[in-house]
Amino acid sequence: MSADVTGGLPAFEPGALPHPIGLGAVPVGPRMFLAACGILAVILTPTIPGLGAQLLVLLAAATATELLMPLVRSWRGVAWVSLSLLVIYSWAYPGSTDHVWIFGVQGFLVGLLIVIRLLGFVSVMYLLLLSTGPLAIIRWAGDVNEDLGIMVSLTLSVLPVMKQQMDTTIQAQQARGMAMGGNLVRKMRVYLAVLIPVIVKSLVRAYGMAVLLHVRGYGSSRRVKPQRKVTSGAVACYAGGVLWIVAVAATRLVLR
Amino acid sequence: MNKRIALVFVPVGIGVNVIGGLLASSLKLPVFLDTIGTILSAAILGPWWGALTGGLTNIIMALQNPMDMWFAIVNIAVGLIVGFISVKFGFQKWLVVLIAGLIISVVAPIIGTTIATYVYGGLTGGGLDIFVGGLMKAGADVFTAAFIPRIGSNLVDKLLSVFVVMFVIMALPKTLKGYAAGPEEA
Repeated sequence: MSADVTGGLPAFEPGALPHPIGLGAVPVGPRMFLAACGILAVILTPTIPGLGAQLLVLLAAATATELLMPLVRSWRGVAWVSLSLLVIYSWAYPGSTDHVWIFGVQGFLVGLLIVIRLLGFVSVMYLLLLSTGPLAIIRWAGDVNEDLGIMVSLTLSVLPVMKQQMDTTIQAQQARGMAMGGNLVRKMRVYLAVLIPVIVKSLVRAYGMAVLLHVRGYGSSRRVKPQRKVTSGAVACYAGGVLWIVAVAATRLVLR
Repeated sequence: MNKRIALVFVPVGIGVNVIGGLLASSLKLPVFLDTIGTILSAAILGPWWGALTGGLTNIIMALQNPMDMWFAIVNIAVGLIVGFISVKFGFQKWLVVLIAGLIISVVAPIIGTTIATYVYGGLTGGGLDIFVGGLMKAGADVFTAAFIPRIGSNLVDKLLSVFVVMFVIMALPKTLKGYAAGPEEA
């Protein structure tokens, strides 16, 4: 959308947040690789200090890219389960031998390990999502495989249509006297009375889309993939990912 | 079923997973019902497209909540199991559908609990955690304590899902049934 269309107002560009250290120049593929290495590194780390160190590195990376606050906000999604882990594991973990009141020390440490690992997973995944943006990831899927790209794009266009179809079906069934509440059996009847027409209608519509794809010659010619330049940012991502895994594996070997 | 039909049925399957789960939660049903689209795709298109539907559902959901990605393996397994059964026996006979439902209602919580135990320590952050804690306190290991509350809800969830899909397939025109029509008609 250009400035002319918006009447001089700055246009809204959906996608990733701006990157103060130039992360925007790094293609999506290497970022995905780096994130995958991060997940693997967290899986390979079995100790609280090791996981804590990686979490600090992730927080430092978030600070450098000005994503610290959004990242910390993303932790709210696992706040309750983290609290639950510390309390339940301290109270009920079978392997606890030393106790402070009703809470076992070993159980607390196991709970803490799981909490830090969980925060590690959440941080890696949200850092990828916050720094890249869903739209860029979807476009990347289309570059990797044309069929994958068309399926993801179709999904995003089909979802609102199906949601609208569901609302229309609910209204139609209510006009015929269907009540939305009631006991479990009645609710299941409502569920079936709404969902089955939505599914059948969507499949029939999808068949029409398949005919359209055929008519437009989709898949009849091979698409030439655009040549990609290997940027320094991409090399840094690949090298960083490999180094991360090597560092974790080496630490495990040394500590064994 | 040709590839173009599969390419448009998979997004519908993903949409059914999302819409089905949304409707179940808005009706406050005590089950998820968020694998109906995977089962439907697998029954019509076979195991690989079914697995793709399941995997892509979680990947697309992960664009909003990245932690959903972990449970893609459960959805993929559901797609593969139903797909292989449908290719071999179709998906219109109630006995076949019942057996498929029973298999996935055991396999799905086994995989789901394994993932949940590793990633979340078997807890959910909800009231059920006290029950899991109680089982652990009684001497059960973490996996068992996390598995027991899941098996009952999964049994109801998956059996309902497979029978919903069976009813949908029965309502479809013959040209859209694919493998679900049975080996002699596919």
